[in-house]
Amino acid sequence: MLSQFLWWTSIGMEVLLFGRGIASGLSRRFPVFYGYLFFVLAQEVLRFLSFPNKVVYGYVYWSTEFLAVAIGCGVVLEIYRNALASFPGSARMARVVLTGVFLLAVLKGMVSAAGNPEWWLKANTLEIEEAIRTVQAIGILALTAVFLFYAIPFGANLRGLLIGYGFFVSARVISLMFVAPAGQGFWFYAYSASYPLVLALWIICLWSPSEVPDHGGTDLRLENDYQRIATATLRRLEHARRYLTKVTQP
Amino acid sequence: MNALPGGVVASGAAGGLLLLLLLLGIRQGNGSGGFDSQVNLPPTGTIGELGPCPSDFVSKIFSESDLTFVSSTGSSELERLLLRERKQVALAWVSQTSAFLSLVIREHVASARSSQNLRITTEVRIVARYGQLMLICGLLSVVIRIAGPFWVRGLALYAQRLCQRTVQVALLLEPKAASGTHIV
Repeated sequence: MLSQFLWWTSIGMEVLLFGRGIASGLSRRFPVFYGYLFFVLAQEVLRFLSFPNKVVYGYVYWSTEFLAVAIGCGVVLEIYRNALASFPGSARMARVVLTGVFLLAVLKGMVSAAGNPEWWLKANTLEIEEAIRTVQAIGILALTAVFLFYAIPFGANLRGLLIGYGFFVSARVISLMFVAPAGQGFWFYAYSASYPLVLALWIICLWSPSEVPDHGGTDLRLENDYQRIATATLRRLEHARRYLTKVTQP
Repeated sequence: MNALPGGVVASGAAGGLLLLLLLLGIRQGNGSGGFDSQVNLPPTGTIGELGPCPSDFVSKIFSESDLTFVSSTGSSELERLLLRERKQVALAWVSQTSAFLSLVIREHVASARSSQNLRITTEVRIVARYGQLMLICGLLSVVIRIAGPFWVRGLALYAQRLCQRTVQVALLLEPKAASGTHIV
């Protein structure tokens, strides 16, 4: 009963969010996100229709689940593109960090496969999704760290989108690790209730287009003089280090 | 992926992400994540120019000479007062230094994030140096809180003496080893 309520509530909120996105024009600013939302709505209809046949439902569930993960990666790239459009330096750093995360994940997968060649054959769909979602969570984590370090200003729309999607991915990773796939205990409902919470956050933050914060433009004096800035920063840090060590000098 | 012990990476990633998202929400909510926060920054300078504490006085904060003088008066109350005051001054100095470091980094990222030719290796060096200095500030703060400011210099002097002794022992052993090699 409760799971039915959560399911129908989620569908209602998704329809509202999607409709509002079309009406406010935000679907043009975040086409991948609204495409993802449309896909989630379509997958729910498909799952509902295939539910009476357990075999068909299983195929539909897992194929749409993995497609959703793939489109979700597109949402992360859309957040990256929107947030760092005006910050080429930070965008470069984010690209390097994300490439590093991806290469590390591939390397880890190869090492695991070499150590246990039968894992790919024996692993069930839940284990594969857990592995992919973990890489996705690490990617969002790295991207958020870059945003925080470079103090990237966000509008309410993009901030809500990132926080909501990051929360959703974290909840999914935690549920795949700790929530039993069968049975409907407390944690099952806790995870199920987290999705409407994410949708509520998205509805609030994406209700109307927010102003994109003005970052004051690029200082032409500094734009193409990174090396000078970096040298000055290193010199100031070195000065601070000498200042700090002064206390320990006899 | 499944071979990892207890899904440490997965739980760490999920927990870390939640933490960073919370931080992002708080920072952006406060408006401190935006470029506006750069407006009130002081002009580029050194810590000596920014700080109210002249660098000559810094070594005095941690110097034991005042403590020795006060101890010679035999007043335990005066000694306790000096320790308390000196601890506050030392902590204020550490806090001022870490605030300066944060200003340096904020100024740097404000310029670097818009730079077309940002170099990753240089950025990593800057972040590593910043992290190292902030760690020193954190350690100094903890040591001052636990053991007082005078202990900081005492510890450094002890480490220096230990290092000198090690060098002396190494120098003493070196000719013997060298002559031993010749004999062989």
